[in-house]
Amino acid sequence: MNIRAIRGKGSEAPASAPGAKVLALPSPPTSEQELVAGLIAHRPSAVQALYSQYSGIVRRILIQALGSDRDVEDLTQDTLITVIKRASALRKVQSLRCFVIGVAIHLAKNENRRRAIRKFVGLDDLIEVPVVAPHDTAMVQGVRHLYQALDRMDVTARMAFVLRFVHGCDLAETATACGCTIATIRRKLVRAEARFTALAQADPVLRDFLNQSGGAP
Amino acid sequence: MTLSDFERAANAMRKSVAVGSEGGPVQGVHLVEALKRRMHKEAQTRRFTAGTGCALLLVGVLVAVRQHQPRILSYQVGTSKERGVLGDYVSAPTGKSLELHFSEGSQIVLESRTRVRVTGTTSHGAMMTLEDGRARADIVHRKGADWRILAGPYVVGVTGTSFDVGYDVKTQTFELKMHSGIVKVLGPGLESPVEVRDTQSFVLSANAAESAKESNNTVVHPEPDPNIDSTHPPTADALAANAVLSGPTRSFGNKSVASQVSSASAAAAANSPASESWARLGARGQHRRIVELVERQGLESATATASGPDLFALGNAARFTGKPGVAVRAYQAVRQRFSNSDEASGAAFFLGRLSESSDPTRAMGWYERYVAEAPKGAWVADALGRHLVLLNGTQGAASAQGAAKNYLGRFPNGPYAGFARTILGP
Repeated sequence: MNIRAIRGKGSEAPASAPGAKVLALPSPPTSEQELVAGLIAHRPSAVQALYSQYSGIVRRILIQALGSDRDVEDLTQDTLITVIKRASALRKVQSLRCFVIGVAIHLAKNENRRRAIRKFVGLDDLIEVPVVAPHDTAMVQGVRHLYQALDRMDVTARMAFVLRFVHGCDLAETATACGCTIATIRRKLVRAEARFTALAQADPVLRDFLNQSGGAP
Repeated sequence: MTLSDFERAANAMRKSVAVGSEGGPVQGVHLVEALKRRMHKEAQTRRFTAGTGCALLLVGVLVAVRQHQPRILSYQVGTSKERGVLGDYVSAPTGKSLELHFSEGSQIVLESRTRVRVTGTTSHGAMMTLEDGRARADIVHRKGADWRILAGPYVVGVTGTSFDVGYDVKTQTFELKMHSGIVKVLGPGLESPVEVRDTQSFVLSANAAESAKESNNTVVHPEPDPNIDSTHPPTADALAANAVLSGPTRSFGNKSVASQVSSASAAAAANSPASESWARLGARGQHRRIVELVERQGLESATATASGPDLFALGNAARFTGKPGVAVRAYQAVRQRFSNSDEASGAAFFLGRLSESSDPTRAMGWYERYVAEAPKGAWVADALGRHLVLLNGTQGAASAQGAAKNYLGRFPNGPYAGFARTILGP
């Protein structure tokens, strides 16, 4: 469902009622420049367009980065509200996607730290990772071990892994989103991968999971 | 082509981790509402923060202003942590000294059996009455410091210095020994304030009317005054009368230490050869001689024939030699025969002093009469103060409120100001 579909339905309903007026809904922004301008002006149509275009990727990044879908709707909303509030500071309109991802990563890092502290002091229970097939015990175990390995890595490197390898962002986008230089993010990824490989070698469950599910997508 | 571990992990994550559905326009409407709520909340937070900041700033300014405001001095007695009460007697025990610590750092050390009263404090200093004994004062020198130490009828004005001050009620001897700095002394026999500095000493006896200042201690031998009631605070008045009326002129460095003989008394003494003798004897402190002469002549004859100044001198001499009955007769004779003279009003004051212990009501009457007859007289502050003490003692603090207000209105820094404030309460 999208805005155009709603408008289409809306325009049909009053036509059948006698004396009813047809109200034109504001048209959504057609380009990123218009979208950013609308966000700066807090136009509802621009906000809805932002949600339509970016809520999916934000949600995916948050779930994959955090390994949990708990509070993901709130975090998604926080991410998009932060984007709207800081839209006026956005200099390059073309980098809106990168900016949204950067805000999501920033919030995910903070949330990750917060959850680590809560877990450390015993306030957080074990969080189950949402899997595609929850009844597949091997998959559930494999995903759990995968996130246990990621939990033992540097937070920035973990976020960079999600962006670079899961979402296919290039190094420049990844570096911008993580607030690092390209050289730094490359170095962090190399180190992180070496550590991940070592962890995977030492964990038979994770090794089997990667061998079975880690083939070509 | 072999995949790296990260690539295999990414593939596994994409295949296995559920990421939910895409957001639609309905959720977008919620986001608009959430944005409005967030903006409203943030505006509230900003207002609250600004308000709190302003309040804290205001509190900070008030605290800073208060910190910079001069504080009224307080004091503690000995090692006690409690604040000393204005007007309370402080007495050093026998054989031991006692310290008074003031909040700005000044310290008064009372020698054994010394009695003092802190009658008032300001942000600049304190006013103390030294009833009897000796005390070592170390006053911190500060800008605008103003301390007053009343020792008998004498007032020591201090801005910051160290000195020993003493007053002996029995011998009515005022003694001051400087250690450093400068003080000013005021009192009977001193026309103007006398500066005592460095390591000088200053001894003054109202009875003997002797004063001297040397670089070393000076010793005087005054006559005792058994009439002085040492239990009554303060004991300035009787001594003041003697000193004021009998003090001879003395050279005192650059200053003139002179008696403040009232012009009327001096004129009467000069014009009347018959009365000249008692007045002059009194001026030299020969009080016993006066009494002997009167006893020889007969009291009835003497009071019937002597001049006003002579009768007044007789009254003083009788008080100082322990003959209150003779003193009363002499003062009454002055009032009967010279009713409009300065001596008559002065006699009213001393009749009040002599009546205090036996008939307080009568004494109050004499004080009222003195104030009415000599509203600008030398002992008005003492008369009103003594009247206040007696009123409080006989009729209670509630009845003395008016008198206390009247006293403070006329003499806010007088010797009984602390006592008056105690009656009025906080």
